[in-house]
Amino acid sequence: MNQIIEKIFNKNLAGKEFSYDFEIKEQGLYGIEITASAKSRRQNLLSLRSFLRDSEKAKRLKNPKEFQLLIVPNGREILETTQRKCFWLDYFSERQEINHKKQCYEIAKNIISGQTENPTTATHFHGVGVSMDWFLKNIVPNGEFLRKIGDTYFYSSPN
Amino acid sequence: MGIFLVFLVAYFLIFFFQPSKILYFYISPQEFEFSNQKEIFFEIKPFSIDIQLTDTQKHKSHLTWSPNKKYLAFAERIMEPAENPFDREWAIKIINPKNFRIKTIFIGDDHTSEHQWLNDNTIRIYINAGTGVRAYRDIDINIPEPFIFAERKSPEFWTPIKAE
Repeated sequence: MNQIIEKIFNKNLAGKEFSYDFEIKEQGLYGIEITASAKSRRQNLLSLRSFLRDSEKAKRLKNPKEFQLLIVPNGREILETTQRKCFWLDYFSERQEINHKKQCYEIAKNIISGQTENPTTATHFHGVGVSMDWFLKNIVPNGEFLRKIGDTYFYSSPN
Repeated sequence: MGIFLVFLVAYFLIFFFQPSKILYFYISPQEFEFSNQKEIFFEIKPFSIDIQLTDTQKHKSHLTWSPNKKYLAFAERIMEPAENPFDREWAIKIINPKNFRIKTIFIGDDHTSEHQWLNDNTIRIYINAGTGVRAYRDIDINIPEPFIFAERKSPEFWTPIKAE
């Protein structure tokens, strides 16, 4: 396993929410190890002792529920009391987003050319021969233009 | 001899004014399946003489007479080389049954959908244009050069309509 990112925050959260954004290059299974220290009841009584930042001591906490790690990949919350968690990261990096757009474009082209059926009525796009104004007025009156990829114009619509 | 001449003249007049009564055009083989081996033949009635008109070894379909039965139109998957793949995939062609000449009036890409006769001289060609929308272009069969879709993609060349 290759280590991709290492980040030391040295931050006192004190019950506050903390988030850290990072980017991955491709979809896959990643291990994320988060090390933190927290105070037990006894340690709380001795709050002036700074050695509690030692992670080894954090593992020996009598009540591990006193610290919880909140990880939010792709909007999903993972609330854990353990220090290590492996999960599937399926949000898109910039490169994946480009691939995703290419896939959308290819699907749209195939639908327009009649090579496949439109799998969902929630998909809105048009190719050549149609103006944006006409499409917005007649097909997606409550929609909005998203982007143009090649000759294909994509729209979102609540309809 | 006179009867024969009268018959010959009558036959020629029928051929000249109503060729569909003399010539029966068809695509063979007639199986529904997609095939590049479809050619256009015509049968000379009432002699049951079949003659092959095309020999392009390309798929052909939708062979239809004009409303006045003086011309025929059909679609052919020409797959000609183009700057972008499939820019010249389909052609709409007209057959003049009086001289058996075939003329191309439209060359379209893979957006090409279907064609239909509007009147004796005009064919409406549809393209698939997106979700819930098609676009059409009316083409005069006397157009000197084929209307090439890849060179006229802009909305001003097409009329969009909601798909049924």
